[in-house]
Amino acid sequence: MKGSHRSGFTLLEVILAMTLTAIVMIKVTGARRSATETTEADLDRTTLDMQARQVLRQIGFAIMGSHPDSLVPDVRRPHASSDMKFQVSLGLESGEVVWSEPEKIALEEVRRQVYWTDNPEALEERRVVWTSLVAPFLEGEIPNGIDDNGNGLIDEKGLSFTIDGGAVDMSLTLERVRDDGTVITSTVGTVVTCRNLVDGWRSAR
Amino acid sequence: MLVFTVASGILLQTMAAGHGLRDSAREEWAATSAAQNVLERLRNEAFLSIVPLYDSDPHNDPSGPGTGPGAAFDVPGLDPAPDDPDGRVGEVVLPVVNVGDEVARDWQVREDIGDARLGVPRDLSGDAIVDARDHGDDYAILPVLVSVRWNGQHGPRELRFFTSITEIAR
Amino acid sequence: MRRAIAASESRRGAALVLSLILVMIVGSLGAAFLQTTAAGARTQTHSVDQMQAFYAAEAGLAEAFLAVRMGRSGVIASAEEPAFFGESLLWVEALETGDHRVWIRATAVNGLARATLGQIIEPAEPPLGFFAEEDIVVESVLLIDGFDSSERTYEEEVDAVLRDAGESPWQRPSPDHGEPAIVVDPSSPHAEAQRAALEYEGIFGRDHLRHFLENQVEIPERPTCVISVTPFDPRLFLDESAFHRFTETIVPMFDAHTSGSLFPVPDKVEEPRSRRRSRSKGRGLKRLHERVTSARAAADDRLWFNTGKGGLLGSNGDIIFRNARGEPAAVHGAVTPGVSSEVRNVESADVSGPTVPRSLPVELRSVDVPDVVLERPIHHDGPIPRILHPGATGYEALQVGPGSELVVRGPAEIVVGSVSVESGGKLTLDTRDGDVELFVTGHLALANESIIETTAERSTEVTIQAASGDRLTAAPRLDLEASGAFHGTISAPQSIVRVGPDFEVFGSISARRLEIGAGARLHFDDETFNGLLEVPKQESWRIIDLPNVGSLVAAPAPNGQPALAAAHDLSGVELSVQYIDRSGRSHVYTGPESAFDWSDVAAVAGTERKVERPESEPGDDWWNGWGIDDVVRVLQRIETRVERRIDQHRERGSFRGGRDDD
Repeated sequence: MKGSHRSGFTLLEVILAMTLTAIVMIKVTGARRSATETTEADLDRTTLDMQARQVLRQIGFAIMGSHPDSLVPDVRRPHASSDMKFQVSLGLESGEVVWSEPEKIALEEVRRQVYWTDNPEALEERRVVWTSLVAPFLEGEIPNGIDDNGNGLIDEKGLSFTIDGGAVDMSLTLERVRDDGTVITSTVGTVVTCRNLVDGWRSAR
Repeated sequence: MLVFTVASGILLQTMAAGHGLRDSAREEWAATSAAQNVLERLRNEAFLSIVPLYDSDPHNDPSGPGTGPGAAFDVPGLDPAPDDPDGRVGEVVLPVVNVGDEVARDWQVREDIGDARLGVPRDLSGDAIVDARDHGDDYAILPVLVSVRWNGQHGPRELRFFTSITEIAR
Repeated sequence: MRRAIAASESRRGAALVLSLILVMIVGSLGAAFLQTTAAGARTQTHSVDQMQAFYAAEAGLAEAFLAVRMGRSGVIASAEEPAFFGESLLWVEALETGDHRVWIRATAVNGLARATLGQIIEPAEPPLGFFAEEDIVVESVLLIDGFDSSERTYEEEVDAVLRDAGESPWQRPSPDHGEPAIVVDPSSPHAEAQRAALEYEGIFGRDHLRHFLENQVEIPERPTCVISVTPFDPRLFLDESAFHRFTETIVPMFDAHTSGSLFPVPDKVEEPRSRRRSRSKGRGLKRLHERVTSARAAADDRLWFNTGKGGLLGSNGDIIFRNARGEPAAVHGAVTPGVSSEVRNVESADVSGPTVPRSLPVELRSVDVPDVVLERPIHHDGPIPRILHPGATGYEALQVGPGSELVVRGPAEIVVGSVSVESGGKLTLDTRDGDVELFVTGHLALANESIIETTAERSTEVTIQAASGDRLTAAPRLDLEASGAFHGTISAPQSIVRVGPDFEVFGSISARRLEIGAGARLHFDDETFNGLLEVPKQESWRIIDLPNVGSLVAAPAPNGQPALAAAHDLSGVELSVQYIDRSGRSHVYTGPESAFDWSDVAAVAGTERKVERPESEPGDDWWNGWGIDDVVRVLQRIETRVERRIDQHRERGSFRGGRDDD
């Protein structure tokens, strides 16, 4: 029976335990918040990177199937265009090459979107947004009439195309402002060569 | 406290690993993108100009010595591997060999000798035979390897992109 | 003691629970983070695999493209037994449609990614040279040789031959029958040689004889004497027995010339002759007759000077030489009769190449005449040239009167009922701005003493195709008696084509029947053909399938599969090849290519292939596996994912940037 009066915890023990628990909880909460913030920032960056790469690659694959003579506008360095109209080869019918209706990939500056349309400037235009979050200008560029970011282009927009022979240079900057005020950007660039070179290309229109 | 410390350590390690993965992904994207750019620009050249433009010999560049892009290229954001002989991460490999010596170099497009990764020995001129001639003027198909080798987060990394190019008529 | 232990165990339980909670929290955070970054890394890995597969599939297309150019099917390996290239596995399918287009589909797998690309190509026809479906009868002097305009012009090729023979380009001596320069000195030890030289000087001309002795005779070790009959060919002046006598005098003449006893007085060096081309630009029509005469003189000259190689005369029947006038026909190249046919009386001709029958019959491709509305006939009879402007047009007839000129300016595709250029009239085919394609459904008559002029440098720039406009009408006849150099190709698979002596062809002709006039000069443009066809035309290129989502199972790494270049499907490919093996012996092989060992071949003299491709129309799924709509769908899915993330941020009130419009 000697130990019966020792059942339960002393006040000191309870206070000590509660203090320790409180400290641990505060630590855990702080670590969790910190980890969550870091994770979210990383996730945002990763997502933005992935999206920029994915969209640019798809733009590249779309233009690859076109005829270089179908590219409009015929813009050369140091100028760039934020849209590109093109026609892709669909195959052969009755011995004649079948070309798609004109398609266009362009930057909608107000909405900061890249969209694709298969009937530009037509009543029945079908417009599909490929991505949002497009920066107004390519990373490092400001509208001042000079090449700020050293890529050889002047005042290029967040989506920019230039033509070099049968190849098309393209760049894209996506930009997000996080809730802590930090701005994250992802800039990607690539070049593709038009594969359809058959002579006698004639616009589908 | 010990458990907490260990757990926090694991979390931090996991996050570090995650960062590493993200950095690796960035490096791979840079390497892939650079290789793609080279392959696409190479495809944009006149077929028989590809070799003189992209081989290691600066003297045969069509627009004058040293005007071609050559066989090596840099990739912004990627550092060369410590054992890289030329200190440049990118390399264009063509079925071209130096049949001269280090002083009097003689670069030739050869079917019988060269980099096995390109499938050599193989017929390049379309006559179905493999001979020991220089096919710089009459190659009909050109296997190409674009390799990017860099010093990555976890040691040297390499990505290789193989393709072949042939002349097409419009 | 038991209580103390119990209390202690109870406390350890609390610590365990606390630890578990901590580990769960930390673990879940770590796992979530790792999952996201790993997903990103996986996407990136797939992205690398995708690009590697894409470029490997392009290698498959290139390999198949080359195969078609070589006359093979274009099929390479299969999905069940793929080939390897680099780090990818791949295979290529090919089929041929009724319009002779080859549709190719190359698929490559690499890691988690797959790429299928498509290409439609129009293969070129094997060059036939000067070919007739029926027997060819050569009854008089004739020159057939070859060159390759993609490398250099005919004149440059002849220059090169002359240069190789030690003569300055186009300083060719003309036959000189003036005062003999050779003096016979009876006291000279070379008197007999001087007499012989005097005789042959009268036959060949002094300069030709001198050129021959200086450049075409070699005495490596007496009594062996090696003579070359290129570029100057004495056999054009001597019959067989006279040539034999001539050869017996060559060594004494050579010795006499070497000792300075033959041509004691050095000849005056002639001024270089400007390059004479039958087409002469900028001259007036009033000088037409003069030009015809000039062209003939040049033509006579050219009978003696040639490239010495590359000619190709072929038939699906026999080829018969009838040396009626005692002057041999000179074919610097191959004479190829049809399967089981022969070259008859070949000894009366001078044929430098093989005369073996072809192993595979030639099927001339029919001519598809474009369906255009024919305008009223044009009868041009006036001093001012009439110009037909570029474009696709049609006329019921074109007729050019004496002293008149009709110019067809390319790029042009013209369908015409009949063409008639009368004596003194001129037809110009101007390809400086584009090719000229002429489809003739009626008689094409270029009269004797009329002029044909082509500005083309390559024979591919001008094509004349003849076929009847409907099945009930007989195929048109082509009478090409005009004077001038025609750079182009003539395809008349159902027609009789007559080539006059002054109609010099730089290109090729294929016809049902080929009648060749005395003194004709036919220069085959593509003499370097060595089994490799003209570069096929790529009609279309397309991404058929390029999944953005990686497959769950990675493709196996290359391991023991054949290399791409060694995996061409040769079944159904009939091969005929003349070759020299690695020990230097000549062979001819005819049979399936799959049974032929190319590794023993050191050099190829000629190659022909005939291939059976699966002929069918490609279905939608064959060609349209992936298109822009699929891209849109994929991107819409990505867009949806991003939108969802942004919405989640919004709900938590943490979204401040990005899309401000919606």
